[in-house]
Amino acid sequence: MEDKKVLFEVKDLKMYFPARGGKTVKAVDGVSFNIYEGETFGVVGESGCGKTTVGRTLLGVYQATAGDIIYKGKNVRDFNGDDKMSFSKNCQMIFQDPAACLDPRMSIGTIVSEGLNVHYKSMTREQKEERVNQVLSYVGLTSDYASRFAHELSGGQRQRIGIARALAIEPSFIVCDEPIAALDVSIQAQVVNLLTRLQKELGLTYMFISHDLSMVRHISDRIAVMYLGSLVELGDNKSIYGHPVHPYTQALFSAIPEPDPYHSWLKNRVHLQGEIPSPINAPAGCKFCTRCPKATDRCKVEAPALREVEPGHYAACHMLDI
Amino acid sequence: MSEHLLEVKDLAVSFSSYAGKIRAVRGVSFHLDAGETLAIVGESGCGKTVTVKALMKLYGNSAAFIEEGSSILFKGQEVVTMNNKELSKLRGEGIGMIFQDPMTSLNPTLTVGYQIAEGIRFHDKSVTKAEAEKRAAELLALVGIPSPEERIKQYPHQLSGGMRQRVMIAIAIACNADIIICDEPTTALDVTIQAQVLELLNELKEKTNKAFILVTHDLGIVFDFADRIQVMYAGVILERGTKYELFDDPHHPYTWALLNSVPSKQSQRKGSLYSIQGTPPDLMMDIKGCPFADRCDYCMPICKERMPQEIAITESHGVSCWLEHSMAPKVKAPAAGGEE
Repeated sequence: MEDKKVLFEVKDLKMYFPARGGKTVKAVDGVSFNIYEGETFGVVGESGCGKTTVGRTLLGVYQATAGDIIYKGKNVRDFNGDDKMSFSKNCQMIFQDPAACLDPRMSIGTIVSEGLNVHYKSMTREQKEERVNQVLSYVGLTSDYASRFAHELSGGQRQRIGIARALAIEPSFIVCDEPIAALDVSIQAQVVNLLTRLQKELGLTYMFISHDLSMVRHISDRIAVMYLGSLVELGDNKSIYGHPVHPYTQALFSAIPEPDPYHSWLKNRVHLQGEIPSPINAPAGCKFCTRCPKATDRCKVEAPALREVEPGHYAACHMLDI
Repeated sequence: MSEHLLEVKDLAVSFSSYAGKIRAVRGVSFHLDAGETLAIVGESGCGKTVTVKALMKLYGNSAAFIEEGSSILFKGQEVVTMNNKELSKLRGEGIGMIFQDPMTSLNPTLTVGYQIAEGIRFHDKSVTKAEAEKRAAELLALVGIPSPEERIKQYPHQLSGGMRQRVMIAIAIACNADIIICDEPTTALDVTIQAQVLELLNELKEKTNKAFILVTHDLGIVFDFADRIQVMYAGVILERGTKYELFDDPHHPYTWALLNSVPSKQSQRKGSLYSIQGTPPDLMMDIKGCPFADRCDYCMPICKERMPQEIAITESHGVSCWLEHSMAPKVKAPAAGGEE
């Protein structure tokens, strides 16, 4: 465990957005974690829990309200111009909706080579073309696709273009924000296999954001579970899925549909009352206390801190004190 | 055979477009009895939604039309030839529908109480406004929405996604329809909310004797909700059977692929998932053979030439695949969990 190199160190990250009437949406409220080189770091949670915001803040799409993001030992706040360039070259993103994130008026070749114009200014046109063909072949497409347009492609092919665009400038870290949510099951498997293969071949580090819990279990090394802007549990794949300790994680995982007619997951799941409260007026204390089947008076006033329950496995719950 | 509640025979639906005819549904036959749940499973574009919309001729002004020779018998009555008046009666009273996206299928300018009461008053003119509203509140209570008297006065945007889907369910059952069609009822919802909504549907299934048709791409929810399953691909049914038959003994390579491309608890982590190469066929084209032939790992020359007939394995289990032919090589379904 100790010999793994830390790529990102995130400390108490907060990202607040202003809302109407002088209120604030606490999208991410004090989250700390590390991402190690070469791993797939899965982030799961229901919609509105802040998982996308974490990914975007990490890449500097949003300026964090508070907290530190330390990339390879250097705080992103102290970056100078060169640091910023190399950071944006090394850290890329794959978006959720492949139809919306490709410019309909640009050819695929132009879309994929756009990053090269910024980060590889000295490249000749031929070199760029060659690079485009190379990344297209990485994602399993032929070079003819370079002259096509996004509307001519299927959903799975568009998502491959999104991946090719991210890969073109040879990043080492990619945030995959729900990369398979908009795709059909058979195509999902293709894209997930592609991501796994590329990781092996190119030594990439992924942050894999998804609400598809079974896919996250399949692809991730370590997993963070988020609820209403907070991290409730963090650990390696085996311990998180094998023996989750936080009541929310337990409920969430028991709601994963299992294709098995003999064992009803629906009847055996942990029941949760109600729905996620709004992040504008999140409950005081533990944010999960309004729905938690085990909540006590203490949970309603005091927010639990993340504690280590076993090596590498953290959870934020007062029940673990005893 | 008219004892079935719903009997669909050779249903074909096409869309006319500037580039030609798109044959979305290419001859499907199935039946449904009271109290049972049928699931239609398939990828997007395979014609599952088009099929269920055809049951009520729910096309509005779109370019879709039902091809000649199709027959939809609901309680012995032919739906294909119904006029608008008869159709209005059928929609809501005979067949109710829960749509995929509750955000876009509810009217944002009307209160949810009005939208539930609308159908009740349309079908029974003797009901007063106050009575209909009272009934709307009861329905909201039935679908598990707390303080229904206040909720009926609210607008869709004031409700969460899960509650909106509950309102949709309330509308669908408001007029005591015999068949409830659920078109991807939980796709837009989070897993914990999905479980709540499915539980509600299961409860309704037990309490009432309604028949359900579940349209979904999610195999995970199918086995817990449906009695019978039919797998659709490119406008045809490739395999059908009870959920136990399809789970224990799937026969069609496409069903194998669907079952195996979802990572399960047993599947090996980071191993490669079973994936189907390529994409579904273009529905504008005439498909001569089996529509799945181009993507099938077990494709034989005959598969590209002729569409296989449906072969009955048991009374309820049928499959359309040349592999069932006595001269075909014997192949075994790949083990779940993928290769490597």
